[in-house]
Parts: sequence; C-alpha cells; structure tokens
Amino acid sequence: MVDQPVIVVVDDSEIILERIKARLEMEGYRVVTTAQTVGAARHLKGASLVIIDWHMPGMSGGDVLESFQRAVASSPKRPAFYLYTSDPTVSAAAKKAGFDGTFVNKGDDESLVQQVAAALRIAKLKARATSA
Amino acid sequence: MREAKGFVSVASRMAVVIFALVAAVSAAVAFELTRREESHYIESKRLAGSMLTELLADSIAPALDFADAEAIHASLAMLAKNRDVVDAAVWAAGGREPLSRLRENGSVASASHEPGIRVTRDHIDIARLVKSPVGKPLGSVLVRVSLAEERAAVVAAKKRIFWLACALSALVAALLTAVVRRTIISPLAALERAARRLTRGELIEVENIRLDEVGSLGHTFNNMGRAIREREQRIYDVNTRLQGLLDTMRQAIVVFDGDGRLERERSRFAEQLFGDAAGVKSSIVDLLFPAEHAPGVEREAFRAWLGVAGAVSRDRFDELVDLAPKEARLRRGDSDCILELEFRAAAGDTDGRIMLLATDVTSQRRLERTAETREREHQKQLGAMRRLVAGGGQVFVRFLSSARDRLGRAVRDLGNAGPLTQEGVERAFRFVHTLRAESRSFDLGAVEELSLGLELELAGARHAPPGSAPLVVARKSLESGYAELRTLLDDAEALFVESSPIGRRVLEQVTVSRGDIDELVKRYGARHDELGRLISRLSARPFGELTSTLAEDAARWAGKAHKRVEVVVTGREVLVPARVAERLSGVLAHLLRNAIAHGIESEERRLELGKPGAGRIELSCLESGDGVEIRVHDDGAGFDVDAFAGGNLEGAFEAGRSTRKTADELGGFGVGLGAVRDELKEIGYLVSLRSQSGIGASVLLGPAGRAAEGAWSTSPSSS
Repeated sequence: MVDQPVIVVVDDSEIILERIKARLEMEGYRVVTTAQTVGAARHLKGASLVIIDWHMPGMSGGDVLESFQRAVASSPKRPAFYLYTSDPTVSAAAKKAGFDGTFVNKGDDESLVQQVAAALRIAKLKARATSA
Repeated sequence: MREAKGFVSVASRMAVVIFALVAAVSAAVAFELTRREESHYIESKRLAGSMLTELLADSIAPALDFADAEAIHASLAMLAKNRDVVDAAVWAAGGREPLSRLRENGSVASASHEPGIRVTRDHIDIARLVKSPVGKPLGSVLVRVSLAEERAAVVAAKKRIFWLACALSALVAALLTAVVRRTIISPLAALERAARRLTRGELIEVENIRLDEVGSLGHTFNNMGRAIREREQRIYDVNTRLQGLLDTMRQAIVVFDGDGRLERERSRFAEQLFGDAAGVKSSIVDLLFPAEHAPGVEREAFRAWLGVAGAVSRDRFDELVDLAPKEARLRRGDSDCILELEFRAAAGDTDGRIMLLATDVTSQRRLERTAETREREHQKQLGAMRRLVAGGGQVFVRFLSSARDRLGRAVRDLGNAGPLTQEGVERAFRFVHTLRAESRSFDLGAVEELSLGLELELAGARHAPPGSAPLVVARKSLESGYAELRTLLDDAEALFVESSPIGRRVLEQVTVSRGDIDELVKRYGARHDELGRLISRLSARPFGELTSTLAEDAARWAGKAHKRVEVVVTGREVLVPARVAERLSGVLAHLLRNAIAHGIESEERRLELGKPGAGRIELSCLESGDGVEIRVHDDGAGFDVDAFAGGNLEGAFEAGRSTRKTADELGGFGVGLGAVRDELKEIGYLVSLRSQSGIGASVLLGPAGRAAEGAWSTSPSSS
C-alpha cells in the first residue's frame, strides 16, 4: 500500500472525518484526517490531495489553504488542494483563494469517491505534461 | 461541365496539330514545285540562249575570218530586237577587248568569254568559240540573256501554290478535327460524364458503344462500374452485419474525434441510452458529465484527459487509458443510470478518433447494493456485540452529545446577543452547515432538511446590513429552527435507544479492553467493599446485549422445524454479573432450542388450539440483590410429564430423558436441562421449572437462596 495516494482531510467535525476516512480507505487510499487547523500542515508530507472544509471555527478554509501553501512552498511536490462543500456561495471564493477545485455534494460518499478519483487523475495528467 | 484552370480540349489540340502538320507538308510540296518550275524556266532559257549564240557564232564566222567589223556589228545589231538578249559581244582570237558589242554601256565586256554557260540570279551568260569551216579558232562570242520574266513567273507560281496549300491545310484540318471529334472526343466526353455520375453514387452505364479502341474503353468503364457496385454491396452487407452485431451488444458505442465531438458511428443501444443528446458534433464531455449535475472536477478531469488522449498516436494511447474516467452517472428522471466506461483508440485510425464503450451497470450496482444490504442485514443479526466492537453506536452517541452541546451554545448565543449581527450569522451558519453534513452521514433526513433550510436562509442574510429585515427574519427562523432541531435530535435518540438491544445503556457505553476488565475483576472482584461493587458493575453486561442475537436465532431454528416463534425480551438494561453473563448466552440458547423443539406446537396445531400461529417465548430479567432472576417462558404445550421417569417434571433434569423418541438437530436427547442445572450450580444459581399442560412452560434461573429449585407441573384445570 506504500504507493497508494495519501489524502489529507481537514474538517472541524470528527463525525464527518470518520465517515470520509472509512469510505476512502475502502477505495485503497491512505487517509490522514485532522480537525485541528493549527499545525495541520505537518500532515502534508507525501500527500497527493488535500481536502479542506470551508466553514470551520477560528479559521476559514481559505486561511487553512494559505497556511498550507506556505508550508509546501519549498516542497518539490505540491499536493492538490480541493475545497469540500455543499455551499454554492463559497465556490467562487475558493477559486479566488487558490484552491485547485471544489468537491460538491458534501455528505454523498459515493460522489466524493468519484470526485477524488477525478482530482487525482487531473494531478497525474498535469505531472505527465510537466515531465514531457 | 466544370473545367479546371488551364484546361484545353483535346479537339482544340488536335486541330492545331493537324493544321500545323498539313501546313508544313503543303509548304514542303509548294517549295519543291516552285523549285522545279524555276529550274524548268532557266533550262528553257539556257537552251534558247545556246541556240541563239550558236546561230550568232555561225553567222559571224566569215566576217571574223576577214576581220569585217561592220558585218560583225550588223550581226550583233540584229540581236537587239530580241528582248530576252540583255547584251552581247565578239572577241577576235587572242584579243582581250571585244571587237564589237551590242550595248556600248553593257557589262559583258568585262565578263569572262571563255566557252561555257554561267547562270546568275538575273541572267545567263553563254560563251562560245567561233571557228572557220576547217575548225580554225577565229574568236569567241558571248550572249547574255535575261531571266527577269522567268523570275516573275516563279514568284507568281509561289503565291498561287502558297494559297492553295493554305486552303488545302484548313480543309484537311477541319475534316480531321470533325472525324476526331466524332470518333474520340464525343465518346470520351460521354465517358467523362458517366464517371462523374458514378462518383456521385449513381448506377450508370455508357451506351451506344462502337467497336473501336474508345468503345473498348467504354466496355472497361462499364465493367469497372459493375465491379464497384458489387464491392459496395459487399461492403454494405458487411457493415449491416457489423451494425447488427453492435446493436445486439448491451454496450453503448460511440465514436468521437480528438476534440471530443461525436461522429456518426454509434450502436443502436447508444441511441437508446443517450437519445437526442448524442447528436453528431455534440460534446462527449457534456454527454457523460452534463454541467447541470455532474461535479465540475469530473468534467475538468475528463476534459484534461481528452486534451492529451486526442492528440497522441495510437501506440501511445494505451498509456492514457488508466487516466480516463471509469464511471459516469446519467440523470434519468428521478434515478441515476450508472455507466461503466471504456475508451479505445478507434481501429485503423491515425487521426485521434476515440471509441467509447459504455456499459449500463445500474442493475449490477443495484444487485451489488442489494447484496450489500443483505450482508448488512446479516451483520446486524450478529447483534449488539459486533456493533459495540465496531464502535458505530458510540459514534452516533457522540454525534448526539456533540450536536446537543453545540445546539445549546447556539441557543444561548442567540438569546444573549440581542439583534442578530454578522458575526452571529456566521457562527449560526457554521453550526447548521456542520450539523447538516453530520446528519446526512447518519441518514437523519429531517435534521438534514431543516439544517439546509436554515443554512440557505442564513446564506441570504450573511451580507445584510445590521438591523435589516433579512437579519430579523433569520433570527426568528433560528429560534423556531433550534427548537425543532432539539426535538428532532431527541426523536433520533429515542429511536436509537428503541432499536438498541441494550436500551438506554447504549448511550453510556464506551469501548474498553476486556482484558483490562478481567484483570480488574481478578484483582479486586472478590472484595465486598465499594470498589468490589464498582468493579462488579463495570464488568457486568446488559441483559439485552446477551440476548441480542437470540430473536433472529430462534426464528431460524423454528423455521428449520417448520414452526414460527416470536421472542420478546424485557429487562434489557438490567446488568448481569460477569460470572453469570459468560455462561448465560449458552444457557439461554439451550432453553430456547428446547422450547422450540418440545414446547411450541406447529403452526397448524396452534391454530387448531385457538392459539396464534407464531409461538411466543418471553425472556425476562430482574435485578435480585447481588444477582439477577431470569425467566424463559413459552406458550407452547408444556412439558409432557408422563414421558418423564416417575411421571413428574423433575425427570426432565435426568440425563438421557426426553419427550422425544429420537434425537434431532434442535432438541437432542434431552441432556440439555440437566447440563444447564449443573453449569449454573457452579456459580450458585438454581433452575426451576413450571409447566401447564397445553398452556406453556417456564424455566426460572436465580441465585440460590432466592429461587427454590424444583419443578411444578399443573394441569390447565388446576392452574
């Protein structure tokens, strides 16, 4: 399982984190979850994909992304950052904040699996284009 | 007929060539004729001049012999009348200057008078020796005759021949052109028209074919047309067979170009599945991942893949297959159609065309889900113990607790804040947003729906100015919404407790190590102080947990015996001491199997007796001092006391005694009750039996000293 993509999920709800972790691990991913926004950047090492909630106490998803981007600025391999929300009003803000994209239908685990697969495919295609 | 730039017809080329050839031949003939005519003229003049010179020489011979100059001059003067003679002169033998000349200013004096004939362009000089009758040279004579008339005649002849040749050339060229047009050009034009119609797909043949080379070409053309038609028919037949094969496949097959635009080729199932959405030149991205309901990231990923896959060569296409989407969901009314996707480079193509094979796996997925559901049902039958191990119930309990806490804070926040502020809206928004996602995880539809309503309302009020109507309305919605949420969470907890095999105990459970508990019991369980009692309670297990799987087990056992039973458990929350609990599951299973095998009648028999078709078995538990009292009661036929040794119920405890004549899978030979009594005796528990024939039987388990061991049997009339 060493070569399986590592996915980091940041959400203030432990309940949601447990559900996401269980479902994504069923698909063979290695999943790291955290409800703590402060210091969460330590989980980013080796991550391929980072999924962040927007509405969190203390820091918004945009603030978390900013701190993460600072943390990986010098890293040779930057993970893809996706916002996970069912709030259509934050999608535009997420784009402006620098997210690579948005996962929608929050709470629908099957849809999340498909979207995670799509995001990882995009990352691979980008890596392929860069290496070419 | 459309003609290409620079087109020159064969007829025109032939006419020019024929005219040039005929003109060249005519010119050559004319040149030869005029040359001969000119030679003829000059020869005639030469002969005439020679005869004239001969006559002059003969006539002046005597005068020259006698050196009679006048006579010589007179002879010369006679030549002046001949207009063809240009000049003439006579020389004495050996003389350099002429003795006499016809024209004083003539040029013959300087010309050579050596015998001979010399022809120039304008005249002919004829010189001859003058001899005496005996052959003695006397002198010489030179006569120059003019060629002017002959030259004029030759020029006239040339003009005449030139015009004749031109006329003849034009006539021949016209005739040949007409013949060529009729025999070659027109048939070729007919062939060309037929070829054009053939390229448009018309079935055409050339008619009125003559027996020549062009006619052979027409026959060849007709044969070629027939061969093309036969080949087209074969291709059509093959295509029809292939289309038939494609149409019978349960796969939707479409082909699209490197830019993702659909092409014409598709299977019938694709037409049925995609309908009008799959028009030619439609986008494959919009077809599989419509913007209206497909997540944007899936559309983006497919577009990115298409951008690469549509541009690579066939031999590198396989490298990209793993990066293509594997599944797509199409909205069909209220349900989703799930498609399994497979992409291939279109065979034989090098221009980036891609074939999609989409298989409708909706039914398969449903079956899988049904299988999963059955599996889940099966897992549920394993009971509360498994759920406790998995910790799922505790997650839900944590959710309820956390949600209630946060709701309480939200209510306090709302109550203390006065008018709703932007910060208050943000806090409330985050709360309902999180609650909605969490409740969706537990299928709490009502909580999710109410949270969504509040979330949308708050979203609209997030940027409203302080004190404005949206904030006032949002506050009222929150007040009523929070109250309703509290009720819904209470309802969810009640439902959870009701469905829990251990009742409200489920709300208090935590996951601890059984080994640690055992160690605690081992070290301090024997103490009779407060610590001992606490450890005893810690290690105890709810009666409901011990019986959680028995209802399902009993139904299965009864089904094998062609009976129906209903198991009712009361006292689920009563804590059973660990030393009893570890033996109780096996004991209760024994008693249940005995009741089904020996007590509960068949459904037909029960109905004849006026009883409900399904037998009823009650498992109840009561706290009793330091222990528990347990009762297993069934409404079956009661024990067959006459079958036991001694004709009393006590015989039921004897090993090897049974009301059955043969052993079976369910009830065995009746060793159960004796074994049960022995097992419980080890932990200080006694077993007693009650039986009422035709009405039912009870087995009572209780700590020694509280329950009197024994067996009582009563008849219906005495009960």
